[in-house]
Amino acid sequence: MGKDNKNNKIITYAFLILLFAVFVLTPILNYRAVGSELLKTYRSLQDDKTKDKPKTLINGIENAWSSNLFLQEKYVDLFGLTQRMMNKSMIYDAEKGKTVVKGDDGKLYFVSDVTDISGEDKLDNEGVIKNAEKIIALANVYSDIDFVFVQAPFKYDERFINLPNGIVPFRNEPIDYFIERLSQEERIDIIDLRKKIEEQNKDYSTFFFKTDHHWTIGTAFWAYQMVAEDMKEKFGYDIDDDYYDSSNWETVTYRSCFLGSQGTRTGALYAGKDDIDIIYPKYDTSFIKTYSTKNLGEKITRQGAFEESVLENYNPEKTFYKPTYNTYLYSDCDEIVVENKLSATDKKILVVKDSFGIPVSAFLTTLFEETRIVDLRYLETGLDEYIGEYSPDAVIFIYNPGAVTSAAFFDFEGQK
Amino acid sequence: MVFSSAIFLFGFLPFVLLIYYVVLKKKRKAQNVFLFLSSIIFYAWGEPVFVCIMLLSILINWILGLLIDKYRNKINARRIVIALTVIYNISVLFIFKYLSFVWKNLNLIIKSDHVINIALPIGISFFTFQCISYVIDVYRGKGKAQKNILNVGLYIAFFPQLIAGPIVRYETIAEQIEGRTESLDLFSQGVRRFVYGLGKKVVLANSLAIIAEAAFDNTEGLEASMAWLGIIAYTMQIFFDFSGYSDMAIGLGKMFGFNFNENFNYPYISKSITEFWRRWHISLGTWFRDYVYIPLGGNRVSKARHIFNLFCVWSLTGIWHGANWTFLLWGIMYFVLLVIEKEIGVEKISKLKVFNHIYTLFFVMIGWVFFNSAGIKEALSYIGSMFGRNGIDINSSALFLIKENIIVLLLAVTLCMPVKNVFEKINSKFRKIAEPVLFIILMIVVFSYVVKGGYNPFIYFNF
Repeated sequence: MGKDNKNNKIITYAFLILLFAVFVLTPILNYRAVGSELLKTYRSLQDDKTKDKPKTLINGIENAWSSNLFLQEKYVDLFGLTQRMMNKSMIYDAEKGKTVVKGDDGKLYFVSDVTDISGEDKLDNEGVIKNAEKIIALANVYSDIDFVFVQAPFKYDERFINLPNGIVPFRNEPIDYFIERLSQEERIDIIDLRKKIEEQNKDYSTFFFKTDHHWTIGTAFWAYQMVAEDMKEKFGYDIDDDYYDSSNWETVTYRSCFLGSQGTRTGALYAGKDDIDIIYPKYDTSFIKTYSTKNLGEKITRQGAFEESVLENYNPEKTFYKPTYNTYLYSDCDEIVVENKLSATDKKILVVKDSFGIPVSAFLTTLFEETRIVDLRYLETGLDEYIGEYSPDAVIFIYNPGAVTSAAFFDFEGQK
Repeated sequence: MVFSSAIFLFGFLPFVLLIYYVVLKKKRKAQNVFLFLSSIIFYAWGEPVFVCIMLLSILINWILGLLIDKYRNKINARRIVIALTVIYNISVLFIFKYLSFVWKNLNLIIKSDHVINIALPIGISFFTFQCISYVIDVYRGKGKAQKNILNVGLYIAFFPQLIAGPIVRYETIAEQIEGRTESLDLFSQGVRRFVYGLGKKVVLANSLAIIAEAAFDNTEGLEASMAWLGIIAYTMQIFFDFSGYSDMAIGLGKMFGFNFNENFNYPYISKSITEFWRRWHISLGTWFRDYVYIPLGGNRVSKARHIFNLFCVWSLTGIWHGANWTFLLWGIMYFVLLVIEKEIGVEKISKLKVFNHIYTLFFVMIGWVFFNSAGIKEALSYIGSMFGRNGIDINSSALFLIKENIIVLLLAVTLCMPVKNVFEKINSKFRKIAEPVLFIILMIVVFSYVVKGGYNPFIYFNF
């Protein structure tokens, strides 16, 4: 009886400790994140013209709480460990399109073949061709501006990777249609990095993070070099090779410290963590970067050398410092403006990008006097109007295949 | 709000426990009011509009209960009140659950295309049955009429059993509303039941759901191997899903000092359909027995009338689960099987226990095909697939799903059997030391599934 009573106490206290630790410490330790989510909900309630405000409010509160729990990462790590011990290759997710599968290369992939990267239904071939025609129409309006389309490769490519149970989350076919339609317009310079990989016989397995859907910083740097060479050759831009020569850039590797978009769904103990490189120029640089924060709309200005300004909160001196993919520039937002105070050219460029374009755009800032980086998912002004007002020398689209099959990245009317 | 969500486990539950045990300690009336209000928030979290329907039902059934009490000595008046109770509650259920279905079928007859779309409030079948139970139990003198509407509200809306049962009879907890006693022992039992139930749901049922959906969502060209795997997975999914929810409800009840009756007793070890229904969804079976079957005369009537009574009960049991011909057919299938068993005698079916077991499980699984199909046509197509309509080759997806979920499948099969009893026979000294350690490990793992979120459909929320 005594032992039973003791066990009852142990079990009850353990249960209460586990519950109350999260209940009490979540709002104390994660108040910023919870507050920010609640603020987002409050704003969406003000914009919400439907009758479903109570549901919006409830979902907002639930989301703010559930996504910022104390010990959340540890719990997800443990979950990942149990899945690994059970030899599971698929980790199902409540969010559409976020189920993760482990490929035979040990990397993680999102399974969905039906949603694009913004969670909407993917466009069919016809829709993809319409996207190409939108760019062509824009290029024809602004005939004095150089137009470049950079086609990034996708982490999953059926030519290189096998997933279990014949899962094929992405096919190159619609992208081929897109590129084919775009190439019918000579005004647009196309840099298809998928082809460059083949031409240069690159090792595809090193191109992407294991736990994130993005390419590695090293791959983005290679893409930057491809763009620089192309613009020099095709448009005769006066770009000195030394600016993008690898030997003039410093690479610092941070080992096993990055858990990407897919890894956060499975936990670090499922497939491990990634190494991440931070690459910055060895030569003298001076920039001013300006952007507005996503949640608060606060205007932020960073000034100084590349690593102090173009890189965001890069702090190698800090104990346990962990860079992320978004150490470059800032995460996806409507507009980032970077002025290069030591530019060798007087060119102004506009980069229209998805998240793959973030590190490439950061590197491109070294080549031009001013680089503006916009994301059509968030930009309020229509792209047509924006180009008209800004008058850049070149407009560079950098999209991964997932963005090409999405309508959101080709909404040139703006988000007003 | 669902029990297997982070907002419930790490938000709602600790908040309610804190206020109940710390702020309102030993203030029974205040505790009851607080539990009622918490239950309203719990329900409104998922149904912010339909909470009004539930509140209206509480109000009306409270008044009806008082009227029964008032006219205790006037038989005719009491009968009128009982009739009103049945009419009101069945009308609410009919409007929200069956009107669209009836209208759709009437349209087929009168060839009209006018559509009625009424959303189904979560758990309406459960709380409506509890409302009826309240008034009838007061009528039968099995519990006193509550003068305080909040106590009726607490009985009907108490969050552990509100959405998916078990259907708690008023006579079961009438005394407990004010006279219950909380204790560490009871709380600890509650914690155990809750965590085991949560584990059944998030570890087993959710994984099995993926296999079942892979089969039921792609019935075109479905091969026999995949069809059998799908129905076996669904058979276990619905058990772990529903019995897991009942465990959680019973466990949460214990944490607040309530004792609910059991709802499941290893139904898949049954050796007849009769036995299966004594072990499956016990609270529903006994509800229909006591509030429909016996009032109709039960088995103390002529043979024809007895069969008619059984037909009524099983048709209603079927349709209670949903407004679809598949549920009606599911109920009628059980009616036929039960009549056959009663007529020829269960023990005469076969002296081979294994055969009886296989026979029972076979029909239970056939029943689940109807239960989980969108329509009769789809169900028949699925059954056709099980018997090789689309070939009997071993499907690669089936092999993948077995390989991927082999541990879950083995664990599920094992836990369908009363292994708990075996565990209890293990050397008690070792068990007493190992139990809390293993339990805490299990609890942390189960919580990790909740935090991860993942795949989370509760089957019985639809009823």
